[in-house]
Amino acid sequence: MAREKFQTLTEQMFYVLLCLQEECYGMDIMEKVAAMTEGRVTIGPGTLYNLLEQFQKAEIIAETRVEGRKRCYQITQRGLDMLEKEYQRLLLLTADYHRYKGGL
Amino acid sequence: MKRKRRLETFAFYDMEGIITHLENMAQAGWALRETGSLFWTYEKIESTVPIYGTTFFPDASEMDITPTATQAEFLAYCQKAGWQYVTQWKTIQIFQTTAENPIPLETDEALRLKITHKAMKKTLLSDHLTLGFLFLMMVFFSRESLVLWMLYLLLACYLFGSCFAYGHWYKQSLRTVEAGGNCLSVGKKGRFLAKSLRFLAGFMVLWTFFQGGSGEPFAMLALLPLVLAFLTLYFLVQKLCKKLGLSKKLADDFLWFFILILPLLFLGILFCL
Amino acid sequence: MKTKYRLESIAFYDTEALTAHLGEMSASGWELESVGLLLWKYRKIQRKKRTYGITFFPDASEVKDSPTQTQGDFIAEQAKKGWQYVTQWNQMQFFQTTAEHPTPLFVNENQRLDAIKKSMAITFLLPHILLLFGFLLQVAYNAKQIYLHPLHYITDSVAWWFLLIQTLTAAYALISCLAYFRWYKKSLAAVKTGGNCLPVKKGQRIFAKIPFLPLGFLFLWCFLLPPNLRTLAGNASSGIVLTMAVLGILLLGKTLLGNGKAASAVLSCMAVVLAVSVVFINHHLTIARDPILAKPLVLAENPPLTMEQLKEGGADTYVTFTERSTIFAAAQSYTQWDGAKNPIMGYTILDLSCEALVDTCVDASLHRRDDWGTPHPYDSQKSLTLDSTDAAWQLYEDGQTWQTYLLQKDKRLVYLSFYEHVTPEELEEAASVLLAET
Repeated sequence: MAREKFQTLTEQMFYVLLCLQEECYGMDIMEKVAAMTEGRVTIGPGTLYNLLEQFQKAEIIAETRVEGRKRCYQITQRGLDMLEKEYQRLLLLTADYHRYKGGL
Repeated sequence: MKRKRRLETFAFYDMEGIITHLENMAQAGWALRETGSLFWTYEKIESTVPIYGTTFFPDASEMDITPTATQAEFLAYCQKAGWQYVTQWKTIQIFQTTAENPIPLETDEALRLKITHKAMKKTLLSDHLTLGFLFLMMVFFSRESLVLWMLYLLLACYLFGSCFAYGHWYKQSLRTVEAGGNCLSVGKKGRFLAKSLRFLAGFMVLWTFFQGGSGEPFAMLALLPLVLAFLTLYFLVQKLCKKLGLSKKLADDFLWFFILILPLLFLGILFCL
Repeated sequence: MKTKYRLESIAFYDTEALTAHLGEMSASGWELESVGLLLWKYRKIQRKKRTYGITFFPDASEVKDSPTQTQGDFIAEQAKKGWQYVTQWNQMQFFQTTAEHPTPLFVNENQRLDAIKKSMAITFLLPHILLLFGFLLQVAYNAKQIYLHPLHYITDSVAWWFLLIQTLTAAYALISCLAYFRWYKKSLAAVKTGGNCLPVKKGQRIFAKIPFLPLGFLFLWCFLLPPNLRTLAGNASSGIVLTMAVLGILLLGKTLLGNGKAASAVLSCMAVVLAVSVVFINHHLTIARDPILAKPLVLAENPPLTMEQLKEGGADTYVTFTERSTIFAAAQSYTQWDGAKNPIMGYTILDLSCEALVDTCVDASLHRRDDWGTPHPYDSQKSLTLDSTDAAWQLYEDGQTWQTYLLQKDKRLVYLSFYEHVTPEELEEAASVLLAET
């Protein structure tokens, strides 16, 4: 079944939003995510650019300032809500795992 | 490591000549290893072969003289990840890197497929479908000329076939990506179809010259230089639009007029004559 | 910069094939520059520039891979400046660097001249001087032989080619030595006043590459000689074989003896001795071979004259034939043999290209000399009168049992020998046949 746009977040989307809780340059997100996940999650520059564009269109993030070619972004309230929702969903998954680990 | 030996005849006191020769050999990929009385041994210089990567940027156009602001920003992202911009092919951006394990340009398959489809719709699909219908129309108008009929039919088949092949690939890839997998690679049939354009062009040229002298294909003989002249003109007009700094939309509209209206005008004039 | 264009046919969405193709092009030395309407433009990948430097270290070891201790320190010092040691050639050390703006290697010009002088004396001057004198001697000797034995040289094109090559080789050796001396003298004067050695001129560089052209040409030419000349020119092929044998011996010697001063000295002596031997052996084969005896047994189909035309009898005979020519003359030699391979008759028809050569050739035939110019002992001749000739002689050699004649008409000479007795009438008939077309 096709996922509705941003109904659930991919790992990469999740970490981008997590990064943007503080104002951050778009270009620096790649390094930050790699550092946060100790290299487990990598975001390609093409993917990152497109994600930021989509997030911006969906008003999940907002551009705070521009310095030449470098743009700064920060998560909006809507984005924070989405992040929280995703977190709760992951908690549910974790709870179900603990409950049903080993079979029904 | 690859080695080769060369017969070298230098005057021992010709230091400058020896140095120049060794530098030229190095530039050609061979470094001196050992000297001998007559034969000198050279070793192949191992060089790093760059890795290439591509990604789609749907807003790009071949009419842009320099990258737009958004495109420049996009290129900066890629550069930060170690990818050097090479050039673009319509909306495809081509990069290269010499890093050992570079971060891939695209890490989200679903997003990658989405962007690919957006770019394809914008550039190739619209061009192919329009031309395909045009050639199909020409098939009906040239029923009396077997040669032209075959040619237009082949071209129409190629164009529709390419669109169909893409559509099939997109559908299959969408299915796998939604299930969490990666986009499919283009199969042998798809690649064969892409290469078939070369065969079509070669076939067209050969058929023209083999059929020469049997009356009918003088039309073909006349057509080929016309086609070449038309392509050259199109290329020059495109360059002119770029030089004049016309906006992308205006340039695209002008070129469409050039492709569609001008040939019809030409045929009309011929018909009247 | 080198560029090329290609027509690519890759599906627009086939990114895998696209990146793979670009990778392959890169591996073969071409990187993508731009994509056009139909054609893709590629440019040759520019490699990182590698700069080379040369030094002349006075205490250099003869063994390339085992430098002396001080030489090792010297190499380490250059490494600190970014110069990597490669190898050495006699007293010359090669260094390389890929730095963009490398510190130039310091070259002590005095040391450089000393090293050059030392190396050139053994590796260049000695062989060139030997070459020069060796070939000058050959040329002088050959010139003398041409004077003493014009009949042999007048129809031997091989001998003239060899003379030309020997002269050119001697000239090459002389010019090379003079060019070097000139360069050394000027460089020494420059270095003494604090300057640098002079650069070598382009002409000198080209000249240094010359020796392999005539050698290569000679090698090829020997294999392209017509068959009948090839056996006669055993000098050419034997010369090549001897030279290859000498090179093989020297290579074996180098492999067995290895590097080192003693080994180099032994090999140099061997090279000189063998080279001189080759020259003299080949000379002996060139000059001393009797062209008549060296001729192959080619049967003549329609000889101009046979014994049967002069007298009856003589069954089961055959005639052999050889032919040589140069721009000066053409010679055809026939010998008739009996069934027991004994000669019955032999004659050589010599057609000269100009009248000026007639007297010289007649004189050489009548007054033979050996290699040292001494007249052949016991030769005498008697003048004859024959209708079909302008001049004729009978030649006598002490102990000779056959009749030998020399006939001349216009620009044709015939040297005729009968191993059976012939009458004057038979001689007249033979002369009329052999001198018929002049």
